[in-house]
Amino acid sequence: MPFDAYADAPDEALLALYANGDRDAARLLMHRLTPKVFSQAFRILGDRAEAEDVVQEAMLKLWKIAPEWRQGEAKVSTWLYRIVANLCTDRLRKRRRNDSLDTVAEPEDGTASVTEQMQRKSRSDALGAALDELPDRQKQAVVLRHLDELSNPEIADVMGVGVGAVENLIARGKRALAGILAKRKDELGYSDD
Amino acid sequence: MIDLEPFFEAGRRDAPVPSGALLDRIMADIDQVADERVAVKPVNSGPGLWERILYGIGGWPTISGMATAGVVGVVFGISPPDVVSDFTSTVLNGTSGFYLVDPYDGFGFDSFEG
Repeated sequence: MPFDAYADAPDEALLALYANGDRDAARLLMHRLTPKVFSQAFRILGDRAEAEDVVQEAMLKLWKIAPEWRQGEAKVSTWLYRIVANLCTDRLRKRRRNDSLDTVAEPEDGTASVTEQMQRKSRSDALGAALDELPDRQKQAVVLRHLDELSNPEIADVMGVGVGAVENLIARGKRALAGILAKRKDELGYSDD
Repeated sequence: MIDLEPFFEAGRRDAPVPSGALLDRIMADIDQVADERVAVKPVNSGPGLWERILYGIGGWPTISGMATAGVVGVVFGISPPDVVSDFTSTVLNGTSGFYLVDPYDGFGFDSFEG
């Protein structure tokens, strides 16, 4: 199992190895990238099954394009975020959902108290529900910036717009989020700035 | 405006985790795509006739040089630059034309009469 040997290899190198027949390199790449893009898809779509389908489809595109991948032209992760964003947009166009987020598996956290964990969960759920009320482009920009922690130039690359447009989408999205969450101020237990 | 950072922080820590079933499906795709790639890989039958001819005459740089020389020749033929005309005049010393040579001048009788 050459996972350790490849641990420091960049994503592009792993993809090139897979193009040459090394399946372990692809498995390592899968373990690196799937959590990131699954998180992105789930937050945008709000549906676990649909998010899984989107991620599988996006990863399949990556495996197929591996032999033609041109080194140095784009980051694999950015390319994959873009594919997932486009697939999510396609799905959102096909349906207009109003239901709330599914229950999400929560990572183990031995340090947080039960109260803290409950508060975190309620905030996370409230954020998810509020995100669902945003227009698609604003939601994508806010998720990529504040939950997936991409830089604005990376988001611009993913969404195919300029950095200025990204800043605008994020600012408008955050204003809308603040407005939505402010209505649940007492329920969620937080104070204004 | 309320502080959104606690919500984002909660959202980041509450990140959804892909299921084992999804990873299994993706791993199956990895194998399937790799298998298909091996199946359709073309057999290396060596270079074709034109490739060998091209290689024999020196490759694309040679073709490129020949093409350039050909185009320059055509252009010079249609519209020769002044420098070519000057050169021609110099070499021929300003004279050109035809003149007659009579190989039988005065002695043609032995040719005609044997």
